[in-house]
Amino acid sequence: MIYLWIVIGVLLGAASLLSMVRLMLGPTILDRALSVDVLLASAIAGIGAFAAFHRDPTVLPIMLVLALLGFVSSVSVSRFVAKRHREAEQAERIEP
Amino acid sequence: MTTVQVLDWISVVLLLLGALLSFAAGVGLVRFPDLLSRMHTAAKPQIMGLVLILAGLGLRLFPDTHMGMLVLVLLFQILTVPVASHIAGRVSYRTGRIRRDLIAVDELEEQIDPR
Repeated sequence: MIYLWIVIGVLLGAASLLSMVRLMLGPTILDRALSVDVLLASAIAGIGAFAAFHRDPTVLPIMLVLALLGFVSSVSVSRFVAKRHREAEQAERIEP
Repeated sequence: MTTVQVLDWISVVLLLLGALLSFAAGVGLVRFPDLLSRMHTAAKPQIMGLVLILAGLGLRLFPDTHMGMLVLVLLFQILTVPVASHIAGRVSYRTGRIRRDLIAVDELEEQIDPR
């Protein structure tokens, strides 16, 4: 059974590393926000696997907070991109 | 095998499936070509992977499962993930950060008024 636990840990770590690759490459800022979301989902899964491995329920509130507040970063980045796009459009309309 | 051992094996298999979904999302993030298809793969661990992980965790903690806490985690995730995906998809479409050549059918273009 211990090998299965090792496999779980390796898969979650590889998922985090791959989403960090996209975080560095990502052509637009929205790609980066999305990869942060996936990184957060991997973190929640990793904390859950940690709690399951040690039979330790004390880390459950951390999962709760991450699940509740994880979407704030993505929403604020998206709204920032939309606002900047609108301002650029208005500047174009005034300039010529 | 006792009941606890059987539940442990089931929970390890569920956790393994959840970790596999997370890994699939990582691979998809690196390999898929544009933002909308990456959003498709990123949604898998956020809901289905979390369901599998929480089920495995509940079975592993069996006599004292903390069911209320696990259900709350899942409920908050289900409520908040669509908000973020919706806004990201809408902004990426409106600001033209998607690849038009990869879209087969675009029903949204007929619905919104052309500038």
